[in-house]
Amino acid sequence: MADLTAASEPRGPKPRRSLSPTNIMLYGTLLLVSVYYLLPLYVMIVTSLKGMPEIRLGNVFSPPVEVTFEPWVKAWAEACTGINCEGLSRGFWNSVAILIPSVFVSISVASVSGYALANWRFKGSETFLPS
Amino acid sequence: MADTARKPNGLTRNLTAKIASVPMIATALVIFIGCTAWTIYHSFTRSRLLPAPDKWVGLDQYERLWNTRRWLVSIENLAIYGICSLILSLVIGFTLAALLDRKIRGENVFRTIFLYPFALSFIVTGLAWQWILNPDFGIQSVVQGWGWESFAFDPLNNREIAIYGILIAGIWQGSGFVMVLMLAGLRGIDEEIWKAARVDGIPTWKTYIFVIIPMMRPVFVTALVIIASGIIKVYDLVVAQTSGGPGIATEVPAKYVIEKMFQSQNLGQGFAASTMMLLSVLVVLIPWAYLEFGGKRRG
Repeated sequence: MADLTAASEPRGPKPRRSLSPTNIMLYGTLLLVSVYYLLPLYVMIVTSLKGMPEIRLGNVFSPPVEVTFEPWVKAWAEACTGINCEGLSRGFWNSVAILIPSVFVSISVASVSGYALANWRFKGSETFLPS
Repeated sequence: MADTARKPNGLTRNLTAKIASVPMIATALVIFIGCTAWTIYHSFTRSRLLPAPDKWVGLDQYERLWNTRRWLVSIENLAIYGICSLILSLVIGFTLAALLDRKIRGENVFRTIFLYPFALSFIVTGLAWQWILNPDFGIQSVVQGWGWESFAFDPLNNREIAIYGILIAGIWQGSGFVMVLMLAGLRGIDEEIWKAARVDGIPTWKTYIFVIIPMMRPVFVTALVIIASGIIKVYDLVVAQTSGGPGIATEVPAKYVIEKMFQSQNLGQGFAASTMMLLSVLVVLIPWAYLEFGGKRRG
């Protein structure tokens, strides 16, 4: 398996090299790209753990000095949207209520249609199943 | 559909399959075609609110549409965002997939990191990106804090480049999914191909460009269609980051449609815009579908 990376290396029973230039390049690139992908998540989590005065200090990347989970509790159960003060929990249960029938209905319709398309190749069936 | 005429055995052949396909065909006809027709019809009227039939005005709405500067800016933005996003997503997605396919350690971790943005709501992540790109407390202030005082990175407040600021977040969100598609494609490549390439002494990068990528054509086509449909629909990203601003510098067509329909209560104009969007999709899609599926017959 590992010999793919060693395509240009001499053959032989040499053990797996973990610090070859290729590997440093490979992992370096991946780690660098990971920073780009993780940055917003880091900002979100770090900010969520700060208190309001600390957020107003204005550096989104600095880790929280004083970790507080109070915003999480507030967002879940107390925050107000319009006249409802139930926070995210209400929206979450709404999502669940939509999720269950939509999964159920789409799977049942799609499986029936899939059966039809598998057994009956009519002219124009590719319009419905374009690949 | 033209089913019975073609089959020698007539209506009863494959009867269960025909019955089973009724919901699908009904959905397609009523929801897709029916609603599209309804929309197109109303784009020729001056309807303003929902129970809608109003006076037929012909192409007036379209004339107004193409004389609106905001729409023209939207189209231009969509073109810039679309072309950049398409190219960058494909390049980044394929490169990441190729890197991950080099039998590295911790592949699952990296794959999760690259893919998770796809599972998050744009409204939330758009806000996080807005902070990061904000000159007062984002990257610019941090780099300036390190001592590089003249460093300027303020994409979202500059009319000229605001759309590229949105592009940064768009790529962040979309490329992971492309990466997964590409990775699946790469895994489908026969190991023998690699062995043959090595025996012939072809460098790895050449193998990728001249052998692997042509073999992965179907995957590229799938990725292309998915990215393109995502680009046309882009709306929440813009709303979360700039709400179309500064001024109208980052307007996109989908936002124009929504605002005309639900804020200006100008249904006809919104439908005219959405019909133009549909038309532009079709102009791209029909020649492609013709080339892709026109020639071959499937069993």
